[in-house]
Amino acid sequence: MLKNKALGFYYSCAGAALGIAAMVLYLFNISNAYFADSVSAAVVVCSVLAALMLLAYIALAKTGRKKKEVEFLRGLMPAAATFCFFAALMSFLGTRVYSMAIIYGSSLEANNTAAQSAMAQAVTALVLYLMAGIAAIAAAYSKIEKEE
Amino acid sequence: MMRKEKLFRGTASALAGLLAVSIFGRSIAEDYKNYIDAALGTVSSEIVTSDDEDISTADLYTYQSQYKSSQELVDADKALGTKVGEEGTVLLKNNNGALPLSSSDHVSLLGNAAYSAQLGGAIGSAPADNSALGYAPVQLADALAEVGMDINPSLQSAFESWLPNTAQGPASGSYWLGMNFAPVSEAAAWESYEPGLDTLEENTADCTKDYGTYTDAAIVVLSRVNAEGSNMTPGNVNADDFTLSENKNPLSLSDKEKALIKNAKENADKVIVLLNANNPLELGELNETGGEYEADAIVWIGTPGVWGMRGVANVLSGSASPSGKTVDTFASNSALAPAAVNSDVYWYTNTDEISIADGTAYMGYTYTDGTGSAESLRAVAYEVEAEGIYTGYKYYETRYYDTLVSDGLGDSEGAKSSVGAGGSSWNYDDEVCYSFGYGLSYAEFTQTIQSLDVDLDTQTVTAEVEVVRSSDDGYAGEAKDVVQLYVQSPYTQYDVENKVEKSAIQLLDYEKTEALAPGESTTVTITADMKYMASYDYTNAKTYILDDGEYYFAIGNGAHDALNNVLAAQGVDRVDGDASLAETWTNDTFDNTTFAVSENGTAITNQLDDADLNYYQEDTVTYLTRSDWDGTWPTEYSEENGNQLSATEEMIKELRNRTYEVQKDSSITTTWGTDSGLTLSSLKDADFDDERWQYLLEEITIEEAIEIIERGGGTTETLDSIQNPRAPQSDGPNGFNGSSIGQNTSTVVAYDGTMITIEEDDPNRGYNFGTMANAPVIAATFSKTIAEEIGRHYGEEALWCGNSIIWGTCGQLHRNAYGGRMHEYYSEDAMLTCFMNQKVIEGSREMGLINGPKHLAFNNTEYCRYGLSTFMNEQAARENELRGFQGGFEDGGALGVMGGYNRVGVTYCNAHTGLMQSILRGEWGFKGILSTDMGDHIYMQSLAECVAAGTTMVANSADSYTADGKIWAYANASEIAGDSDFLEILQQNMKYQWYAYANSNLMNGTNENSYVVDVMTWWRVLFLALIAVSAILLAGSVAGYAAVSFRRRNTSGQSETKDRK
Repeated sequence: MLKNKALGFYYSCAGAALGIAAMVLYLFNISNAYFADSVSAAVVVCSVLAALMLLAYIALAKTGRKKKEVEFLRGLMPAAATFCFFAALMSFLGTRVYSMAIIYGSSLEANNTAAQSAMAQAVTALVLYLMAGIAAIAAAYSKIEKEE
Repeated sequence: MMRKEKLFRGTASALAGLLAVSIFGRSIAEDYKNYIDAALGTVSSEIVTSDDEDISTADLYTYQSQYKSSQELVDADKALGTKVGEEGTVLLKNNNGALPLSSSDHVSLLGNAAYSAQLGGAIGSAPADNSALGYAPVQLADALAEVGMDINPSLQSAFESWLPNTAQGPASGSYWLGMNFAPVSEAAAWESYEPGLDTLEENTADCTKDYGTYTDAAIVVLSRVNAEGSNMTPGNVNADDFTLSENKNPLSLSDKEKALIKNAKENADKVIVLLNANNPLELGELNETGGEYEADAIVWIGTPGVWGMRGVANVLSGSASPSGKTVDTFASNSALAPAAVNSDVYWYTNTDEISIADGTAYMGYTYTDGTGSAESLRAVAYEVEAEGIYTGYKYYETRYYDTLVSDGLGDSEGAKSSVGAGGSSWNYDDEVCYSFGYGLSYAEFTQTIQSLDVDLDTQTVTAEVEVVRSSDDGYAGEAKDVVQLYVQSPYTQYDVENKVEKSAIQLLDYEKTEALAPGESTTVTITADMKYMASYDYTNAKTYILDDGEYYFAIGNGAHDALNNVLAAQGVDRVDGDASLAETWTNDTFDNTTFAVSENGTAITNQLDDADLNYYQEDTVTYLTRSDWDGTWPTEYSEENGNQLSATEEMIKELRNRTYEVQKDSSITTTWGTDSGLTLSSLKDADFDDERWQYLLEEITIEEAIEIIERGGGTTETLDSIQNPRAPQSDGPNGFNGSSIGQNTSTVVAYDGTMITIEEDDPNRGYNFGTMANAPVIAATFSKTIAEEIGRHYGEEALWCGNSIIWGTCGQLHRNAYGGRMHEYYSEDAMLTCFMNQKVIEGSREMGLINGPKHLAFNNTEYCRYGLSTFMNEQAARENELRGFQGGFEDGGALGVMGGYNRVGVTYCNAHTGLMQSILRGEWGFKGILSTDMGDHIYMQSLAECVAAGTTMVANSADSYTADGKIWAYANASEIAGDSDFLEILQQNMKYQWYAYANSNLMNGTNENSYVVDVMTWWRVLFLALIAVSAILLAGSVAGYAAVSFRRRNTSGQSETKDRK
């Protein structure tokens, strides 16, 4: 079954997986005692939407071949997913810029292991979002199936 | 075709990503525009003032600089820094005239800090490095070389090549290199980084080869680091919790330090030990006559700032005579002090009960994801200050007095007992190396009391003291002396019965002389305020009292000397005192009314009952009393002792931080959002009672007021309604740390009306102002003149960097010798702190700078400071730390103050109405900005409770927490619209805030026609351009993709049709 799959399929799967992983890490991060934030709807909704769109990009590949409108919309999904991933990334980053400046830009929390590990977790989530966004772009440049 | 489709699809994706980054990046940039402006040198809003032909531009500037160029300012900064370093240097010991050295001496410098000293704090009040502008911080070796001394080059080279091995802090913090110990935290253990000669030789061959030439003196520099968020741990308390490579006591000399001293003694004619540390080191071994580590001279230099080493070098070389005095007691073993007993961090046993479980609604908010945990509520730890008033010299000198006087109410036998003693019995000389207020000079002075008058009507004590400089003291230069006036209040039966404690001696006031040449004399007049000698009776009178009985006023070289003079006057002949240096005054009647009213007429009564643990848990704490030294010696409230504290239900309510119930249906008595045409500039320099304030306040909307309070960190932004200029804040207290010349302004008006433009290519643009000595060095000058000068200088810095607020002075005390943040607080003594704080504030106000002291109050432990429950009785609170703050408000007219991270009892500082409303705003008449410490502790720094207690800014700069579902959602305009009490206090807080700004340099350049406009900075243009370009290209890509896609489908459809045909 996977024999027929092209690079776009794998990029899309990877993008969706990375995005969901980033979101899970984000949820852990906001419940971390150091940050203790409430959930940002923008981050969660964008992450879920982006992942769904990448999955839809795969799922509609066959249908798209039959209906040009569907195929057109399907082709826009990686772009929408990319937008959402980067929107989630930047929304999350916006809540961490201040702490990042304190933790990495000053010595105030130099010896606070809780702060260091919480921020390392946040940075990991941000990197995952970035990778998810790049995967979505890569998917857009690629085919889902070899005979596509 | 397919390739084109992929190309368009992929490009559209990349552009969509870029569009998202641009849109959300712009939003982040706007949130942090003040930081971006500071970093990029841009200005994103400015004041526009309509031309008025009748007023010249210069006249619009109430506050003008005394400098006409940035170079003049930088030169003044260097000169003031040098002067503070010079007058803040304390000569503790000088055997056989070891000092001063000659400027042509050949000296060997030993110790990391001789080449890379702690010039400031490692975290907080860190020294600025302006090397890139050609102003490298001056180290001791540099300063001594500048005065002409020859420095042992091989040792210098060896130490300098060793220094990288000591690096602990961030790479940019070169000042960490010199530290000998890292601060305690969960992550770091104490460790000595002094190399020792063996290691040095291994690292650098022939490092001692020049010893033979540089034998005039060896200077050994011992150093300790201070850092925010850390504490040292006492030597014998929980030392096992930490790994220490050599000794377990960070205040004693490490083996490697002792090895350096020993080596110095073997290779030089004399050994001078410099103490580059704010925490008082334990110096017994350096004083041991004939001992292997005995030093010829000991000099305390603290952390003297970027330029202060030049002043230190002036003292060492003899071009200046030392005139500094100790700001703390140097104990033989500081861990034995009663205030060291409860100085670790202790956790409540029942943090699980304090926690609010996930999914639980509490006071209208449902806590989830651990946000209600005790850790998140910052409600886990406590500290019990069972020592009462007996901190610093108040303990040592009072106990000393009681060992000598057995016919009073003090417990003489208990005073001599072994409790808290280094040996089998307590003996002052064994326990104390140097008393508070002590310091030697190269010159010889004689002080004589000419007259002393006590006037209860004016509530003043006036002392005239003649200071005569000897004509043949052997020192040719001019020299200054300090007159210190102490008081001993009677310790009476009433006091014993009502738990009123009395220090056997207490600093009342002081003055420094001008520089005197040999043979010159001067008369110093001290007019002391008697309110500072009243005692607080928290159990019976519940106000300040003045006991009946005999009062002794004495002068002396420090607290111990003054007390000995009192003892001599009392006929105790076993001491080295001079009865002529003490005067008496008798108060015939017990007085509980004169000092029961503050200067503004507010009745003074108990406001801090709940700071006493006994308020919540009766008879839990026994406070130390001199009537029973042995029986009331503090107990450590710890798990090990089986008396670890559990929070009661009542305490838990406070520890959860939410106590204010928002009302829904009261009738509204305040008006919001009107338009009377006034702007903040209309009330420039207006009095607090000006009736226009009400019109201005009514222009502000509820949303704006909430926004100003909620996001008070970093910068106060412009409100549309009142068009206030943006007001960036800066941290201190060692000057405008992190702010620099030209940062937020490009113009300054000089004293003669000249408008000075700070050009882009000004060679001093970017000069960072965090150069001043740390607080203990400033205090050690014992000079109110210098303190005021520093305040004015900070005011100049404000004009040249364009800021209006600095958290640039402190009222906190050194509770014990182990504070990690001692570098930011002046002293163990309340009165020295009080006057230094007050004078710095006065100087700043003169220049229009809002200089807010921090951290009101009782932030006595740095490690685990967030939400630490701090327990004490009200006498200790008022006579110690609050007295350190008091003068800054009552007499200095401060217009800003920052609260502590800790709790007063179990109530978060900024939410404690007794402290903030009744004492600060009520008794002391404070009418200015009350800020929290830095935000991001939102589950503790609860908005409603802080506002109710008078807080005008929660120093949160990050997210907004007033939206639906967030912790401060109740502070939404629609939610609080039915709470008239809240709205009233909100408006009152706004008045305090804007009154302070209206009377500051923020109003420079404005008049009633001024308004604020946004400026299109280049970075704003960049973001807008990115958004526009990426959006257009994205649209193009999508269109291209559509065209290609549909064409392909059509083509493919036609092919299929053809095939079928």
